[in-house]
Amino acid sequence: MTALLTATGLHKRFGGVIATNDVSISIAPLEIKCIIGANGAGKSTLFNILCGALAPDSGSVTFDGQSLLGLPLHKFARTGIARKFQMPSVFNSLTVAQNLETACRGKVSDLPRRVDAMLDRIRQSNLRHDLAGNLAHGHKQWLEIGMALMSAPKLLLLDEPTAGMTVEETQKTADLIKELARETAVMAIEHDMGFVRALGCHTYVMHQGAMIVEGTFAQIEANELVRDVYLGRA
Amino acid sequence: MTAAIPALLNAMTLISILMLVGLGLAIIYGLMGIINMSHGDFITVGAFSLALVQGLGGSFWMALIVAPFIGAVLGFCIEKTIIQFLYKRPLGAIMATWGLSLILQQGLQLIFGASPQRVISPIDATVEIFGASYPAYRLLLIAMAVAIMIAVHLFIRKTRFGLDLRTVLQNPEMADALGIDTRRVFTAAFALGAGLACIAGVLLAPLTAVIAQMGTNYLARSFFVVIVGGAGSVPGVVAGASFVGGAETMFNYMIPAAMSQALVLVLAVILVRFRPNGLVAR
Amino acid sequence: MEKSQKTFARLWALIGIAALITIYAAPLFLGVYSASLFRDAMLFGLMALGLDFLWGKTGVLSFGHATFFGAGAYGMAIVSTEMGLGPVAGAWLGLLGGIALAAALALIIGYFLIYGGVRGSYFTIVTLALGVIAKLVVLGASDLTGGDAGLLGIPSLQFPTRSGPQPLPEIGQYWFVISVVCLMTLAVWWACSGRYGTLLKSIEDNERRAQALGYNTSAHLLAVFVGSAAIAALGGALYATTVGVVATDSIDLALSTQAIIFVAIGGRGTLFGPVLAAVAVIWLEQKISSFDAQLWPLFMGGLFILAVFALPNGALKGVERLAAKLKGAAK
Repeated sequence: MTALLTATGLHKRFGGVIATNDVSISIAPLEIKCIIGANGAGKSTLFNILCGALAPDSGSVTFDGQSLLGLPLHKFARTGIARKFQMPSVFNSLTVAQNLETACRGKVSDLPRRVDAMLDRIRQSNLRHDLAGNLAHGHKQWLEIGMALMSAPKLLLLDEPTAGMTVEETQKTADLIKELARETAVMAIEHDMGFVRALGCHTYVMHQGAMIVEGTFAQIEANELVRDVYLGRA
Repeated sequence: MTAAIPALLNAMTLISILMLVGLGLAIIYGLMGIINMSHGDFITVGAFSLALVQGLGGSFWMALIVAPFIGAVLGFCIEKTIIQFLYKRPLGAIMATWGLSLILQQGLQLIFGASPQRVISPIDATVEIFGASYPAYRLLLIAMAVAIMIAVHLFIRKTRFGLDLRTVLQNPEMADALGIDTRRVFTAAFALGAGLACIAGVLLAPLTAVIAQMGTNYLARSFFVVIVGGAGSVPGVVAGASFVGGAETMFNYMIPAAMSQALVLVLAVILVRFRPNGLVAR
Repeated sequence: MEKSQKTFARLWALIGIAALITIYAAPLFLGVYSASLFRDAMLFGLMALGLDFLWGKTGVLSFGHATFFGAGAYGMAIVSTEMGLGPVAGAWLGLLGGIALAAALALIIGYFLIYGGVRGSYFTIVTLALGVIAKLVVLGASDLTGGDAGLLGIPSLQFPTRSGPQPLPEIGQYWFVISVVCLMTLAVWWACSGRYGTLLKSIEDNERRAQALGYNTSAHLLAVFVGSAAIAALGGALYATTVGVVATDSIDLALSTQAIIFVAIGGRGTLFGPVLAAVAVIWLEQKISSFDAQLWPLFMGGLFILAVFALPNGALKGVERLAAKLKGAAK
């Protein structure tokens, strides 16, 4: 299977701190992958490089055969990569339906139908006229995932999508994401092992800026090194 | 050489004036983030205080002491009645202070009349410097400006209030948690800014026509002194005033006054665009 | 819910039509002088409309919108009186020239500032400086602009008749001006209803987020800035040609602040509100000034403070809220 997104040899330092050290990852179409690691492992730096907010000191990021480095934010968004940041970031002064409309850029003939379909999918049909600013935390997160999907992306990047969610909401989010993977690849950066377990996907483990292990979730859970640095005894 | 001395002194006079008018705004806008459109009128109030004190038989020096008190009381009242509700509404603050400016200007004109107020310079002499004669008052102005800048700088850097002020302005929540009464500090800082503007008004009154609208001339330039200089620190004001004043004096020798003021503002806009944090970044 | 909304919309439409008829019929019972006052106020209303397109729809406050009104007026005056064109061609080319001058200025300034990431209160202060610069330039370039005295003898717009091109009679001029103002207001309202308005609102709400969705927000803001400047310039150019003179009060900082007060009183983002507020405020100014000219600035200052504290959403929104409350009580 040819890769959709490939990042190779990413290095990034902040002063004396090495945030990412020779990190390479890739994801194929319609695949789900997770990146886990403790706080300060370099996950956020990696995410910011992948979504164009940060330029690496060296290394390359290609998507669909096109280099992503140095693209301005709005052009980046048109490549077919959608991102969802950690903190919910919806348009508080617009309604739920308007948020989804705005997320769908350009001329679209069947916009109302697509908005309806997405509302149904993120289970917010009953909230369509509510202002996004008044939504509960979990609903904001799902709305934002819905917004990311309105552009029919090839790849969805998620930064800690379940931060601040209850166990039940986390489970619902995992179900939603598995459903999404029929149409788009998903790369999630996560802290919460429960969520990664629920997804049960191919997983990378980061530690002190480096990618130390990768494999299926079962392999990761069984890995001694991972147990040492992350899961248990650290 | 002798031709260059007056030019240099003219530049220093203008820079001193701009430092003085910018200083109060550096605290109110640079530190507190309030775009105070009535800043120019605080300066006018200072100049009118001089006219009033001298009209009642007092001296220039007495006015220099009285004016900041008038300014501080005015600033205190305005902060308590208007500004304190608008810290989270910057556009609201712009509009309210502009309204205030209209009221102050027209109020002064209604009370004192439209003709220029009579103010007397404390010294009339000229002095010889390197063979060029120069009004002594302007030299006094330069000296006073430098002294005031140093005093305010030390006040903000070395005193307990200055420390509280910097803490509150950097992080109000944290300052609250440390037991500093943030609302009092904000009120005091606004009053301080207004008082400094009044001192500026007294000092520049002998050099200009003291009318109710005089402050408007200084409004845009005060803002640019603060923005160009950066971050609302005393060194920032010095840098900003030097840039605006220096450039304006230089252009004044080449093109008409209106055009040189316009050109300086254009340059300042360009500078702000490329160095949004100003010349002296915090 | 849906049904009551429909009746509500119908009610508004009725009010609108009644207001339009009143406005068109006004000169018949107001007399010529009051009607000309009303006509000029509508042109200042056009400047308010321009500002509201920018401030109300994208949240970007320009403190120098009189610059564009003035650019329109001076562009009109210079093209029509100093280029050696006849009064017919001069007036129409002047109209285009004034608008083009303002749009070009806005394009250059806007590109420089908006693409440079200047936003929020920085943008406001920089545009404040623009207003000051514009006035200084007008005073400095007195050969071209007439300096303090201004420019006189700007020809009226002439329309073809059987006996050659003729200026409109007083009442025709009135109808022409209010038609232009109403059409522009409707055009901006139409452009901002629906998705484009939602997009602009999303930029005001969270610009970075809108960028992350793939919108070139700087381009949209620049387009609105230029459009808003062009509308203000249309007002300025029409003002110059109907009044026949232009002076520095058409480009003054005081006029920029008036534009802000029109929008603030009329209700930011309501478009119709600022136009009506311009008429109401100017009418009030006449009334108070005829009583005592010195009182007006005090009133104006009071209006600013009132607008901030008592009408944070403008008078029109206040009425709407009141109407909604009454409706709620009636149920």
